Amino acid sequence: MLIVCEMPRLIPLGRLLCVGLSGILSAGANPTPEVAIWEKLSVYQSAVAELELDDLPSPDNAAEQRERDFCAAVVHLDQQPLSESRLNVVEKRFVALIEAEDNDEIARASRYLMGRIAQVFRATPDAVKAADYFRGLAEQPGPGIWGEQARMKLTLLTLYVLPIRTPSERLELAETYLEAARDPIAVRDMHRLLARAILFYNFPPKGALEHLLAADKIGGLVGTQAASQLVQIGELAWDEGDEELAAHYYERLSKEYPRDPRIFLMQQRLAGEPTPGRGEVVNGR
Amino acid sequence: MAAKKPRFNLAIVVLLGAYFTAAFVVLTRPGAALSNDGRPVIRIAHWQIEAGPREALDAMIARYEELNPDVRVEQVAVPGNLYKQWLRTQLIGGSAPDIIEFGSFWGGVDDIPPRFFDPISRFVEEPNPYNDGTSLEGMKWRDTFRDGLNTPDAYIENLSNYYAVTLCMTSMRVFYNPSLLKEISGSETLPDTYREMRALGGTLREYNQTHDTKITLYAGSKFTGDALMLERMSSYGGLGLSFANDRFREQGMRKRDGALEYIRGHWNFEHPDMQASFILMREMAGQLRPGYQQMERDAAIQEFLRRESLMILAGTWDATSLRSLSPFELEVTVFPWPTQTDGQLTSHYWGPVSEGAGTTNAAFYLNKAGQHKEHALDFMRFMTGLEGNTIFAQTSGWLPSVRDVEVPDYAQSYLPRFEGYSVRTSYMRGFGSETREVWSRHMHHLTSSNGGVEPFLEAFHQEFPDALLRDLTKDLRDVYLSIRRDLPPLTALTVLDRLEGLDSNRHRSRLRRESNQAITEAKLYEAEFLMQHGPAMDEME
Repeated sequence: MLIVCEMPRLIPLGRLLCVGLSGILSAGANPTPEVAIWEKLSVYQSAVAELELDDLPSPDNAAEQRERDFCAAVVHLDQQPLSESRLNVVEKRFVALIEAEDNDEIARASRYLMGRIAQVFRATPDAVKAADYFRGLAEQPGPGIWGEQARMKLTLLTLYVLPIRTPSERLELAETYLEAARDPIAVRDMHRLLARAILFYNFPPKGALEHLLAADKIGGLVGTQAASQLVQIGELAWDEGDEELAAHYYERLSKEYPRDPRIFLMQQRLAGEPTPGRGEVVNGR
Repeated sequence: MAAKKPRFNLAIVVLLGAYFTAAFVVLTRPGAALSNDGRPVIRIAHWQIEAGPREALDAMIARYEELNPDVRVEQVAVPGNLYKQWLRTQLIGGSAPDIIEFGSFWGGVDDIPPRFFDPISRFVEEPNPYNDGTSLEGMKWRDTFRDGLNTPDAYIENLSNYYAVTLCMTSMRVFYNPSLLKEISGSETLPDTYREMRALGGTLREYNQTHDTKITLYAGSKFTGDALMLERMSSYGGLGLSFANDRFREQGMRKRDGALEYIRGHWNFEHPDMQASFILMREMAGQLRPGYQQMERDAAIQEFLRRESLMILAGTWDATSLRSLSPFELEVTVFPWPTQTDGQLTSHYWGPVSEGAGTTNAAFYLNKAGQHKEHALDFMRFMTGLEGNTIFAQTSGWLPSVRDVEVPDYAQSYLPRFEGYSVRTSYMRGFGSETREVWSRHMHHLTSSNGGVEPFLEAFHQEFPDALLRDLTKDLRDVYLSIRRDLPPLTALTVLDRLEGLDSNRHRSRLRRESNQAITEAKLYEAEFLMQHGPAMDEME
């Protein structure tokens, strides 16, 4: 059972409901023989997965054969040694899946994976080719998470790799992808990417602060990433002279991550003690 | 010929008899892996051959067997320098112990946990029954650890699962000889400022001259030298520089950010903070015996125990060995690293420095191919329960990993100091093996009696930039490999949600990993961009 999940911009609760409904409906379906193979792949046991794949009974119909072919292509992609000829074989398998049906979930996953092959698997990455796959997925509605995933990768390539004249043009174009994003988690992560790029290209840090505040509003980060984002907002706010905002985010850090040693810096500041500061080279143009 | 035959037969009989007797004794001794008393035998492997942990494990095992007379537990202690190879052979051969100490910090072993260990996530979410009737009763097993098992070896992010429980905590401390200190300086207490420590070095030099002795301030070896100078003096001295280039507002440059800011031209080793640190390092090297870089860690311990040095910087994992081997009463304290108030050359040393978030160590995993996994898991619960971990801490002298386990008075000073600045940049060891090798090869220009900061930098500068690029290239290659390796598992998690229905843990785990991957890829592309454009990128609009 496939559920169309190119969702409009939803509040997190609505999104969870949609995902949950998808899960409940899919759970009713009979598990396919490929489940055991996917489980092996999910924990990096691709060699075992390949062996077990060979032992599966033949599929009964075209739909099952399609599931099997997709699974086999991903398993083959994960085998060693990784060579250009192996990638060519995998690409041919994905192409065959796309030619049979070009926008069901398997086709969209295949298109995404072909983009990733061009982007990160080839000995000489082809960012333009990868971006074409990602752009196509992002612009064409369809089932699954692949459109949002593709938009994220397109944003990354736009910010750093694609032939674009200046960093400011890169950021402007990436902002348009952010506006098009609908999934709250994808929106959050794109805010985070834009904040990082602003700091990397040394644009005024205020823009990075705004993006990180927007990301924080969506929430959902955990662990080190979440703690570091609180520190980043606190530090950017401090640099902007907004001591109240900085103190608020460090209070959250103390409450949510009481063992994070970075709390100490703000304590020193609040106690009026001298503290190390950032240099001019990172304070924007 | 006829006379020799009986002698030959007799020899065979004697040999066979001895063999079978030995085999019988070995195979049926208490705790033997092939014990015929019908009890399952659990084997636990580790590399902690220092004084303390083996005895502590024996004590834990004795108590466990008292509580569980139907199970036997054996420990298998293998020296650290052999352990990695030994373990891989055992795992591949299918003869590995049931519970295994393992560390991802070895490098090149990421394949081992998914292939050979069982995840224990569902178990650590439940209370540990060995905590019933204690202050930890009813608490999730993972929450009973001081760090909530929030350490990369216990929770493996890429595998989205808990795989191990930890046994202890560690820190670096200075162990000193108070009677020798009194003889030299008139005080039995080690100075608590770096200014006084430098003064003590001067006092010691005078003592050596007047008494014709060669006592050193610090016991010397490659390990102690690196720990004192490369890992701490230079990193702590570069803390301000790290903050100055804190582009991403995380309180200091991380490893790759530091390399990129160097390529961008925003810092170098001529910076006054680094220069001052070099002078202090050179001064410190003069307080170790000549040739210390060629000495092993044990040689430094021997030097200290022979009263040939006043103190030794060591990990608390060596504390019990030092205490048990020492012919004199020794004291332990935190080393007084420089701060801004310590006078000449220390104005850039921001302090105090945090010793981290207090994560726990010595991670033990459950062998997937073990014959008695239920019993093995039960022993893991026992050794990290309040009673088991108390036995471990009290017998080994090491710090416990479990909350509410009492830390003995003598070990209070081992507890990691949490408050302080977080050091994120290791200028001398942090960028990779190529730059580390350049440091090691040219270090003698800095530390030898006829060397100095200038000759060191002259030699060093000729090789460091190219070595840094090689390190970065290798680093980025590894990132590509990691991204490639993660794509099929992430795809699999998505497909499983489609085929099986949503699993909230699996879903959350995938989202978290995808978010991390987005930032990882941004960092990868930042490095590639900078390697292509160099300092010119700061001129781009």
